[in-house]
Amino acid sequence: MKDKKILLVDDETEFVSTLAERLKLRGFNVETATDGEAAIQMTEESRPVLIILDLKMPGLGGLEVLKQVKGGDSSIKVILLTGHGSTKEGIEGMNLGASDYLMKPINIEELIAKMQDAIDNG
Amino acid sequence: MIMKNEAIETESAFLGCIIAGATHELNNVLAVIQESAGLVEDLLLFSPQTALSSGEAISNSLDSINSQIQRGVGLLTQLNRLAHCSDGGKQEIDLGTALEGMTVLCQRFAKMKNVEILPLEAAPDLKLTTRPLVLQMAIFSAIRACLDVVDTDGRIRMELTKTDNWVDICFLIEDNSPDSRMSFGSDTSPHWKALLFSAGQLQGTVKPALSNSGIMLQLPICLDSTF
Repeated sequence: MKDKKILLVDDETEFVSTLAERLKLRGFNVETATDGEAAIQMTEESRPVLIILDLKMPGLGGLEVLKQVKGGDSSIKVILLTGHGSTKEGIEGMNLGASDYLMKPINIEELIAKMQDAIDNG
Repeated sequence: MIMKNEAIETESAFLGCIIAGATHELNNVLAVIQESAGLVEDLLLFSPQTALSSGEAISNSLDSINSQIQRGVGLLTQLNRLAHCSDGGKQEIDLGTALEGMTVLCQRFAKMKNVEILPLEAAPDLKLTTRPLVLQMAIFSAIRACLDVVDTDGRIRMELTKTDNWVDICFLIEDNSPDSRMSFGSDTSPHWKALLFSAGQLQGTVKPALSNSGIMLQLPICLDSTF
């Protein structure tokens, strides 16, 4: 899994850069974006196998990004991140093709397990 | 009785909205702290012998933790102040503190549109005796009504004009679409309606007005005013 490209998307700049650094320390090939528009552009350019995607972002929100990504290439796996206590939007995202969702703050080992599962099993 | 129920529902909706926005922000604060602390831990765990050479990364993480703690404390302070406002009756309230508090608590909503809310350049030293929760609701509704129509990447600036007995708080919209203000007073703007409702609850002494630049709230400021 570690040679595969992963895109991490969240508008919380410090969160996205720090989590990316932690994944890189574990050997993952990670790129980052801090808004939905940039995420779409980077997906088209660098074709990640997996996107870790925040649901609530200014401009293009996570669900809209998910729809566009899946519309362009349904093989790209998506794991959603949400800060909400509710699971409603996470489930809505899974109905739109996301592999899984996680509540922030996240446990990195749980995230990696979900990443592995998404890539192996979709 | 109907008016009382409507007031409770409107106040509950206002508090729910504030709490949802602030707790979402607090969740983000905790997420950044967790990842920053986790990165320090990782640097020590994965390469303990080179951890000292990662001094800059560790220092940046600690700076990040400290700044996020300040962000969290700011949010919690304003939430706590608001909680003490909801005790019911009339209390003395500092207008500058109320405006500063609502600016902080509205940041989440502004951020979702990439809009900047600029606080007052100098906080006024003005005390009012009023129902603080309803006054805060009026300020919140005015800011949200402005956020409804401001362009993405625009700004909302607060300006205060004082006369002998009145103070005008102006929420000025700075963007490239002055025509969009036409939708301000429409029936479809829930925040404008909430603002009118709060003004009604304050017995009409808070007078909201619309202009091409934004929204103005006019309040009496004499110290013995008990609206």
